[in-house]
Amino acid sequence: MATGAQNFYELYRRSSASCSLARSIGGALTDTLDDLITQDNIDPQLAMKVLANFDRAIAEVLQDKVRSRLSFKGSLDTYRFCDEVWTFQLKNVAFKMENGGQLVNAERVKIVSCTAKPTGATA
Amino acid sequence: MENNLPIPTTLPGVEHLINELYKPNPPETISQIQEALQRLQKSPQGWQLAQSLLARPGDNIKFFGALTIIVKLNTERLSDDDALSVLQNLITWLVQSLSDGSGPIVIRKLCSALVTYYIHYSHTWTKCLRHLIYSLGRDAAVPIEEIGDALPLDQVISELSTQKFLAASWFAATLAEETEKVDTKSTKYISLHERVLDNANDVAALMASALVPLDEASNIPSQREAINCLQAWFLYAQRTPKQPLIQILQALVQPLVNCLLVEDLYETTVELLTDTLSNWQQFFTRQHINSLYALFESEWAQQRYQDLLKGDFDFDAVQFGLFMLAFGDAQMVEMMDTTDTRAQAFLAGLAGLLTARGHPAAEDKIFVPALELWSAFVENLVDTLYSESTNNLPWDKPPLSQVMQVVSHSWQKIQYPSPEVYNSWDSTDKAGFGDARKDVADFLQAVYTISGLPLISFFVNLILRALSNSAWAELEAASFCLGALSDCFSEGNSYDDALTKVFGSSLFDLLRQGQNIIPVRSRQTCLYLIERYSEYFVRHAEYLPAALNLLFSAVADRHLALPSSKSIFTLCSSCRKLLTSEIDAFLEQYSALRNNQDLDSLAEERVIGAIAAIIQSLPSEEHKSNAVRRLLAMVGVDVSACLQFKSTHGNTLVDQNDPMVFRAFDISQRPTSPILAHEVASLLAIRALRCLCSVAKGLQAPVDLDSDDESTLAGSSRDLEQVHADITEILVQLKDLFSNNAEVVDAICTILRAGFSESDPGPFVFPSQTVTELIISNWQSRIATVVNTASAFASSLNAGRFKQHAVPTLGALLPWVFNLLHQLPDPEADPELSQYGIEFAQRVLSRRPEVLISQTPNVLEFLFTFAMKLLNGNEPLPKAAAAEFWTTFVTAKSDDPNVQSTLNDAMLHFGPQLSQSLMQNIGGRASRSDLDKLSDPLKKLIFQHVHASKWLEAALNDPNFPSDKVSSEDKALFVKKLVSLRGGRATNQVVRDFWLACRGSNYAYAS
Repeated sequence: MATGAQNFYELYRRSSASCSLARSIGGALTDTLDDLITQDNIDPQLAMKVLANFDRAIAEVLQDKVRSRLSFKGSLDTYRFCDEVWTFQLKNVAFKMENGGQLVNAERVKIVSCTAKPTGATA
Repeated sequence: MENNLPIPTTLPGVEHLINELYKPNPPETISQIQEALQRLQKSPQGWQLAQSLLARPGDNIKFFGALTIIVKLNTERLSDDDALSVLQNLITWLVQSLSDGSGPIVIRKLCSALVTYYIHYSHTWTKCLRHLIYSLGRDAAVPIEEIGDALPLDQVISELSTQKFLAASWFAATLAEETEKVDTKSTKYISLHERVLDNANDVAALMASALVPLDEASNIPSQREAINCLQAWFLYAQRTPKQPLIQILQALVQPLVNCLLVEDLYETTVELLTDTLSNWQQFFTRQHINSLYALFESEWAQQRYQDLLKGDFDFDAVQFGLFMLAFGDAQMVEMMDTTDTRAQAFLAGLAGLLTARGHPAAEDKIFVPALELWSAFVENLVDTLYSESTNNLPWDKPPLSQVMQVVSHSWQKIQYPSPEVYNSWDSTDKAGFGDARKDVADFLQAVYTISGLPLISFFVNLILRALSNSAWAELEAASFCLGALSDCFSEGNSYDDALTKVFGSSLFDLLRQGQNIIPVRSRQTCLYLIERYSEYFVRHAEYLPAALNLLFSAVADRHLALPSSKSIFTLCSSCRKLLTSEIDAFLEQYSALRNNQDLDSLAEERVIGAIAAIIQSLPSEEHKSNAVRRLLAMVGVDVSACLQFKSTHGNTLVDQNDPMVFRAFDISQRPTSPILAHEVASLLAIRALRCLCSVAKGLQAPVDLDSDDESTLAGSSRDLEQVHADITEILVQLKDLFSNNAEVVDAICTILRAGFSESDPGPFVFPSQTVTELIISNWQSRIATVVNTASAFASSLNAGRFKQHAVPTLGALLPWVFNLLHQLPDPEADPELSQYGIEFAQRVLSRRPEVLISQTPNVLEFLFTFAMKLLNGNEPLPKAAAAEFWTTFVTAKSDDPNVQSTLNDAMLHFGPQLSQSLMQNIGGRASRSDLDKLSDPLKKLIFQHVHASKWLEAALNDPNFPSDKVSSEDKALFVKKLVSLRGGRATNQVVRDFWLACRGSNYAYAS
């Protein structure tokens, strides 16, 4: 009997779409829904519902199910807080995977972080 | 779908069709029936049909009648008089259905129909609930004008039968649910939401009549439905926050809280309260909070709390725990106030939740959510304490003392049970318990930010106490917790004194005494602890020998092989400079380990990699070459055996007890009968190559050296050349025999790649000619992986060491890659090969355009045509690689005027084709997720080339343009926008908008 009042971000629909060759799950899902619409197998209303469910499910799964962790160190170059969204730009970042796993280095990293419950979720 | 069912012309015919719809029929039949009935519903006779169906017996028939009314209300606009007539009929049917024994599905559907009516004609039915209740009370549709505020609603409600009350509640709940879906911000619906608000007092009166019954006799079904209705209204009020409505609903919270004490209502009530506390804390007034505090202090709550702690994890009990946590979440700020004694007492109760009986996840279902709350609490605490010094925090007073209590409870809870108990759990319980331990690690890291050294000391002392008491489960848990904190340590040695107490204790001695003393799991965790604090050993070399001796002694134990080998690798890698003098001892240790028949292959790879890391730090090239040769000699034993087995006849069998079979198979996969020699050979090849991979990675320099340091060019000694020759011989031999094995190909490529990033000469930094010859030789499988390796090699050629070899090397590799691509029947036949092939060409083009351009015209024509086909194709990864190739091509520059002239000519030749391909894709052919990638060459084209707009216009006006949804003006405007943006970032959005316009509004569902 969840009240279900919470809104969910749509950012995972296109997450990592800008990565060179990595397709996001959300991007692949949207492409598939586009194909299904093209083939007249579903209508756009259903596609919209599927994406809304995806927004909810991906947020919940990332919050509740994903247990992998990593830590990172780097130099904070710039940061800002606008419209409830924090943005950090880091330089020379070293990512350390869980359990002393592989070290991954990146010259530049941008972190965008939003509050877990989007504004408007609670009155 | 073509419908071959005729529309029935008689009422019995329709009824038959409806009954068929609800019977188990094939999906095609159901679809045809649905289609026929929908046509009937939408026909002008739909109203008449609905009326007739609602007068007929049978729930399915009546339900379909009500559904038809909903369809008509949603699709047709009526005059107010006609609408009111429909309303009167609907209420009449509802009253009749309540008396003629119709099922709940009919009543609920009629309530939905009434709500649909309200959404479309609320101006004709402003006091909807009041009117419905009066009509239900009088068993007839009362004229609307008779309803006024003066009528005694409470009395009418109290006289309603349970059935009528339920109907009114369903209507009220549906009213909130459906109007909540109507856009609250649109001006079109402002009046609707205002009218809904006008009914709120009547809704509250209806709910209150059930929640606060006037007489003692409570009616559980009515109360339960009232709570469900309240949930819908809470949700509506949360989405449409209006103070008067919120105040009306707030008045019902206390009666709702009282329902918790009614056993039959507990579950519904506690869920609603928990959800509302979690999602809408602001709804609760101070009075409500006081009431809830009093509730939690009551005997009733204490009993439930105690039941939970005693291990009652039934649904109701866990719900109570979640209710407490939701309240705690709402009281986070108050619980941080040390002067709020009531909040502090509740906080103590929340700490107590972590002491419930049983193991987390497997038995104790409240531990994980409780710990989540505590993690959030500590994070909030960190924020408030952020500006204060953490040196003088009152750890002996709440709330910090509670935090430490939770730390204490947590580490006790994550102690492993006995092996018998643990093995009795199913995989979900085991995984849940493991996850709970990770949650504790997260929590401890949060606590560390306000605690620091005291938290480290706490676990150090626990380890020492466990050692002295031989309490191995405690030792394991405390070591796990201390290990979890290693990630928090910043550079420096401020906590070394505390760690010395552990690593200088009897721990290592006890661990060496085998599992008769300390159980396997505790030993595993302690071995990981060494790995977690490898930096400590860099600063305290005095403990390094003991640690390494312990780890090497444990590698042979199959239960400890993986943790100990991992720790060996980390420790040797971190402390490589301290260990160079012991390289002989390490090599001997490795040699001795190889005699162990049960040595795990992964553990061996880590150990040999660890030794390679020490070799990397040896002071002279001669020492390095000698040590590497000794390692190679040992790996060579496997290679020789492998070659020998491979040279036997195809059916030759090897005894399963042959020592080389033990090397080929890890203990868990050993065969129980003789096995084919060729199979043993390929497994030995893989093991040898993986060991070489590990050596190659271990020998990589830990930090990037200056890649332009020309002095390193002279370092290639005769010793090194010999090592290169030895390794190359192994690689060539194994490739020639086993390149049909994907794992072999992968391993050889990994070995080659290990040298690409190195700036100094080294055993695995092969001459470019050697790499080239190996790459372009004959491979039986995974050719795409080899091409990908060639790409990485092409990128590495810009480093100082290889610069002078770049042109001849690329000159040899390019024809090889193009030949592979040429052999494909079509560009998408092997997407992986196409992708890596075109990536290779892109890298050559970006770094050495003159090499690419120097290919024969035929080859170049093939390459560009190939890249164009991929851009026009459907395979996403090759398409993205092709987009990147074209982006590079459009911007390619060369200092050589001849090369630049050729590039310009090529651009003039391919520019129109590229424009055509991009416009076809952006005109709707491409997938949505391809658009960003396709925007890149477009942006460069517009920025770089004067003819771009002309080419693009021509492409857009081509007769084969895939969409007819955009006009010539739209296309012209699109080009104008692109040109004005001059390749800026906003181009991506313009491209998306145009793609959407070309595809049509059906695709506008996603942003």
